[in-house]
Amino acid sequence: MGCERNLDRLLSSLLGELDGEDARRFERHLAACAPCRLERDRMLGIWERLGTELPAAPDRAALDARFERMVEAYAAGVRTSARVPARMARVRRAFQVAAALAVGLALGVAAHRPAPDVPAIADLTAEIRALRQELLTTSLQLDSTFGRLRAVQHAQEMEVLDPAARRALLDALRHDPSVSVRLAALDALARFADDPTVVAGLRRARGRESAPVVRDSIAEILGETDDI
Amino acid sequence: MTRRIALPIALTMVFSGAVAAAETFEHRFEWSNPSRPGSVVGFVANGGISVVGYDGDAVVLEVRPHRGPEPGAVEERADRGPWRLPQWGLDVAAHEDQNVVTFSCRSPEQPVELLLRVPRPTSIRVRSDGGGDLRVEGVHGPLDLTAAEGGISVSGAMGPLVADARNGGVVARFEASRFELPTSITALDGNIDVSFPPDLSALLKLRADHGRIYSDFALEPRPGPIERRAEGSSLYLDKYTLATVNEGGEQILLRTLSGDITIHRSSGEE
Repeated sequence: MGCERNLDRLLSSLLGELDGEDARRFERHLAACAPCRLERDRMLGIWERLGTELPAAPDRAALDARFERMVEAYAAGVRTSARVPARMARVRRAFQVAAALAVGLALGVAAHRPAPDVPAIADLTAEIRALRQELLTTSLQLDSTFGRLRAVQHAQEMEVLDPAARRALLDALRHDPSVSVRLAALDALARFADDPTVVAGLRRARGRESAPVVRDSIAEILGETDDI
Repeated sequence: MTRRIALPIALTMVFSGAVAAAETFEHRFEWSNPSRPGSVVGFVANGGISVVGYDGDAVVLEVRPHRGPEPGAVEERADRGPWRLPQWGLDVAAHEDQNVVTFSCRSPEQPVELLLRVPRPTSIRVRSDGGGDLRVEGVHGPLDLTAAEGGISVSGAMGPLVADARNGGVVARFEASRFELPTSITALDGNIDVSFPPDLSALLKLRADHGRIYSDFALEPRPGPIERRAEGSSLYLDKYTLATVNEGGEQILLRTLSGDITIHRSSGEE
């Protein structure tokens, strides 16, 4: 349970978006949780290598060799790692894909352009952001009310929500069985009440909402309250 | 190479029945894997649910139908009818599978009281669709409770709580001061009365639409940070009150449409 919650923090930590009490609590969790620590070290290693090993004047053969070593290291890690929760395994696989994409991108850039590869890192950051939004849509399918609630609360803190993530939140607002999750989804969507798609979704959700506490909140955000 | 494969064994027991009013059902469910905490998931269509944590290792489910009308009794609605005839139907089903006990209880006419005794670490997700309250005592796992036409009371909670009461208040006494997951309590028509240990660490998010908010904790409340615009024609400022308690932590949302919110600091001697 704690590990599921800290996966988002792990990604936030890699993106440099974790600070204050969140960072301290994450460190406390790592100190007590060996599987999470292992995962953090593994991802951090890849992350740092991506940032430091991409050369200004690339040596294609050396990059190929490094890529092969990284794949080998991953394969060995996967074979020898302790059993980890299923969701963590999915995140790891997704991160591997993102890392491989980034390395592939770096190789491509290196082969055709001698400029430094800062854009590759920026692209990787965008990939990770996209991955987090994908994690959101996946987490909204969890059976656990607490898991879905945690995911939606995390969405409230995301600066950017792509259209797919907004659709996923609208879907949660309309269909999630928990009033608390629907209310949290509404709070996450409220920032985007100037998006016509979101407004239309809020109107549809209001029409079918059975809980007055959610229905009234939708009306407030739409500016359509009757009690003025 | 010899490979040992442990096959999961699902112990499933099902019982159901239709009985006359005032009989009591009791059934005991063992966990498939006693070394891991289990879950109880279910609903009562007409009646209340009480869940009590205990030091045992099995789930005990008991159904007590309220005493119905005596056979032959009719309720007169008019001098010459029509007369309302009594119904005694009751349908209870429950089974255990991979450490999850699932139950359902339907009785269209007579409300029932469903009692559960569970090992303390059990996580609970139960719902009463009408005609009764939810009570949970001494259960330490996460609690997910919905009462469509009643109130909710929780005591001795160690884990997070999601509670929604549509026609009553929520009273919750927590013994834990930190949670690993968010807590969210909503009420449509009733007070929210919660109690936490003095060293609670959390982010409180509070809103009483037609009521007031009281706290034993010395808080420095601040407004919600978000300005909201809808279609460019109106401005909406978030109506939640936020407050960080001690070091902060997971969010605890308390929201009632009609009622007060009271946050007590427990003495630790309860």
